[in-house]
Amino acid sequence: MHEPTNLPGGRPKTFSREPIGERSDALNMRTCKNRSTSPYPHILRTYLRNKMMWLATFMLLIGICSLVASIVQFRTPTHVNVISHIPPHLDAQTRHVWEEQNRHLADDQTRHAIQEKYNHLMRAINGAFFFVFLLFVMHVVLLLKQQIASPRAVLVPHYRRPHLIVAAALVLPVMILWPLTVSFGFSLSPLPVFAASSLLFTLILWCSYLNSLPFAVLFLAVWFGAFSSWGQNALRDWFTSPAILAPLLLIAVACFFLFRLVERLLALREEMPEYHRTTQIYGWQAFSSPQFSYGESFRINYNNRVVRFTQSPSRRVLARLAESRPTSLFRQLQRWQLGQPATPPLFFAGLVLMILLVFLLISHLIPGNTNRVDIQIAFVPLFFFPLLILLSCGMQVWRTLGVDSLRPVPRKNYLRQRAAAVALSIAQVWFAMALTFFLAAAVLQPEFLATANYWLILAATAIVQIPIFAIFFWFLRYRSMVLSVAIYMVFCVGLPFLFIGSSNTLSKFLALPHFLLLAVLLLLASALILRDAYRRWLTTDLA
Amino acid sequence: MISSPVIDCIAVNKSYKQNHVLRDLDLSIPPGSVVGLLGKNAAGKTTLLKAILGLIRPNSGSITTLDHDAWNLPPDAKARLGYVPQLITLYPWMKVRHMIDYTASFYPRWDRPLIDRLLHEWELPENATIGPLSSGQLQKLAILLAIGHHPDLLILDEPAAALDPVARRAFLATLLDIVSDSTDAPHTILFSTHITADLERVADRVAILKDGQVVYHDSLDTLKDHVKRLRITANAPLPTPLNLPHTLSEEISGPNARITLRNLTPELLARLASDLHATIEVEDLNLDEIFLEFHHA
Amino acid sequence: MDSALLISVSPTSGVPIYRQLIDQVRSLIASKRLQPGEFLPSVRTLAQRLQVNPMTVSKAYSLLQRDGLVELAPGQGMRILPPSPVKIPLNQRRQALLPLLRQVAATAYQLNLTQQQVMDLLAPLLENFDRDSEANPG
Repeated sequence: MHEPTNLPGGRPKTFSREPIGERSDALNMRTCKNRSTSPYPHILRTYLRNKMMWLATFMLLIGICSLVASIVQFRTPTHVNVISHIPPHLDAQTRHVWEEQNRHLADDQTRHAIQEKYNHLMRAINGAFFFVFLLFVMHVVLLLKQQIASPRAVLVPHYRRPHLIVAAALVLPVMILWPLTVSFGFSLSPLPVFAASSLLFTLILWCSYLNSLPFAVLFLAVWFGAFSSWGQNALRDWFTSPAILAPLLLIAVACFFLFRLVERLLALREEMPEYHRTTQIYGWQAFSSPQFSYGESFRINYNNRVVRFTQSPSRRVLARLAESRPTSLFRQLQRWQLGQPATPPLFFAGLVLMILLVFLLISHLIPGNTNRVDIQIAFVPLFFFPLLILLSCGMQVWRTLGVDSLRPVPRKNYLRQRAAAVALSIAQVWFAMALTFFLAAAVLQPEFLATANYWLILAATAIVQIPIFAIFFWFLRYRSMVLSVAIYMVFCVGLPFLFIGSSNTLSKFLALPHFLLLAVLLLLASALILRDAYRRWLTTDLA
Repeated sequence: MISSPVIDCIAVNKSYKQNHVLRDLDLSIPPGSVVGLLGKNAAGKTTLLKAILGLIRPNSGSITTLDHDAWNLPPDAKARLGYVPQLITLYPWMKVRHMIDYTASFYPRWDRPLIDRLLHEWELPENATIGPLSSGQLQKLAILLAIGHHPDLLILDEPAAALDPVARRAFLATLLDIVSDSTDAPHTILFSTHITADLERVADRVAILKDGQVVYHDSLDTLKDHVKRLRITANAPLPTPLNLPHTLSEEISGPNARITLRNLTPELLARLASDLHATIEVEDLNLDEIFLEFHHA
Repeated sequence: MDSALLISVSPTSGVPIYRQLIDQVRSLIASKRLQPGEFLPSVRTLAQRLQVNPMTVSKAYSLLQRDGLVELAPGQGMRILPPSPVKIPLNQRRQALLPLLRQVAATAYQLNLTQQQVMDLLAPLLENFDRDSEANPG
């Protein structure tokens, strides 16, 4: 009960006559603060629970191990002894010395010493751009963005800061320790290494955050540009120079953009264009689990013309569908292909853009670039790009697998046709890519086409797709994104890198009898795996 | 002549890891009926519907849909089936008309004029991309895709959950058209919904799913005729509990009581009045209240 | 006259729809709003109007036919029959009216109306019905 009393001064003063017990309860409610829970453990748990993070961390650990291993090898006494044989006057000009055409300039031992030293230097430099570290940082940013690009970030108080702090705690050590380790391990000047790597890290942070194609191209251009001879020379010079001012300036620039990114993350709202651009790979995780609705997870902006172009199904096939029902198997497979998000023409287009324009052209057309990339390197993507289709539609297919199975097609035929449709897409992409590389080789390096190596490697890339497809098909029953990515990483990315890295193994395999034997074995294995997988698929719940 | 049931589930069991969703379930749906499947959220409605369609495989028991084993439906049986899932998964990169063409290309007969008419009536833009569609429009599209080939058996899982009242009424009108348009073969409709008002309009049979079992399956009119709430005012305090047959719920305080019986017959009513020396008021219950009473315990 | 307009149902009431239809047709016939010789709307029309299952409507119609209130005229629909002489015993008829009378009594009590006032209200209404039935015999 309140009785307002008018005191001099005009303002009524209320005397509360509530019983004391009630009043203190009210006070407690007002001042009680949630001191027991802090958000940090929960945020960390989000990162820990994310299986893609596990994968990225695992690869990060492999990267760290390989870096430490090469530093250790660099610093072994024998190695130090070997490279001490470089005469001082040659050391300064070694960037020209170690290349093919200048090998006659030095004697065996010196040349060997120079090669050894600069192999490691090259490894160190390339290590500064080694992609597992960038991948790890990219994953953290993608997860962070997923957490912040949601209504919770706007409505829940003190939401963004803890998330940013955790992300920074994961990313900054990598960004700082990596260049420090490289520069001190390989005896390079720390500041330039720091500058180069922080620029690249900032670039990839922005790329992952914005998720836009032009930025991705820019990043790849910078990254691949570093592999050109011009880029390598520049970096080598820079990393061994005592420059202070220029690196500091660049570090300042990187820091500036880093702060801008933090600012933008703190202010991310739905009107901003990047809000809705989630990477497909994180959309898939939700996409494959039944409890997420479309609005939540698959936030691709279909009002964007580029998105519509890349995602729209083949109009030809659709027009034909409207006229008549497909009768032949090929037409039926084409119809199932409509259900796959990335159509072969689009993949081909993306491929041409990324590989040809950025990589090969840079290496072949930049004036004065003596570090011409052998066209053979183009086979690496030929290994793993077609199977990217498996990743892109493997998990997505689960969403509609159930309802589509109700179409009037018997279960056996249905499973076979859907698998065949995916295989057809892969084959189409492979064929398109092979054709592109044939043309590129014909223009840039025609002598390569005459070697047996070209055709053998081409055949190898084709044959290798089949067992990988079989394994993928076998594991797809488990509806697990992380399993799919793991298989993809091991077989499609790991194996080619292994081959390219060890050219000895490559030449051994390119001997015809070995090759044929391996091909037959792989095909047999694929047939067995496919048969077993098909049998298991027949008893799998489709919804 | 007794025609074979269009859906026949016998002793169906389905469990997911520890969760025993369907327990020894029996359900037999005669052709030509419109059956409403009622149940609480985790009762297993979606699981049952998926099992009937052959999307998931029961751990034991048999399900016969359209005279065939549900797991291995032949194409001609599938051509007579229509399904609207609870979680609508269409291809977000396609346009509405592409999706319709794509679906139509699978079925031997497709009623294009009907689809065009409904697209116009339901205000679904033909050239819209499916991705940005609202959930109500997605539901409308999903319903369209399921009825275009005039299925003999139409199964809908929460088909109207996202529809506004106008759209819902239009959808019900379409269902009723399907029911009354049975020119060559009777159309059977089985749908699960929370909206009991829709069922009361359209359904002639109701199946109530509780804890993985069908606890009631009969016509809606019988349900409403037999499930009644009694308000008893006696002269003397009533015995607790009263132990009347088929009691669904019981509330007794002194001489007054409120009891819901599952099967109230006039004889029972007369006997109660005389045995308890009480005046009894019989209250009619609508489907919503009946559902609540079934889940009282 | 569109007889379908006279009929309405409430699907969400506790009373089954077919029973509501039967009761309504009965009261329409009794209150002379539906004359003998007129036709009930077809099953399809009525079901569409009321937005209910046509089987419910046809169930109501067949029950009405069984009770002798309507007959099926082939090709034309359900024709309303003249009310047959009452065969229901008096006691039953009185029991049927009792619930309504109890309601009237309770409401009158709440409104603080005396017995005489209620009778004054009731008598003219009964007279009106008698006058109408005399004017339109059968």
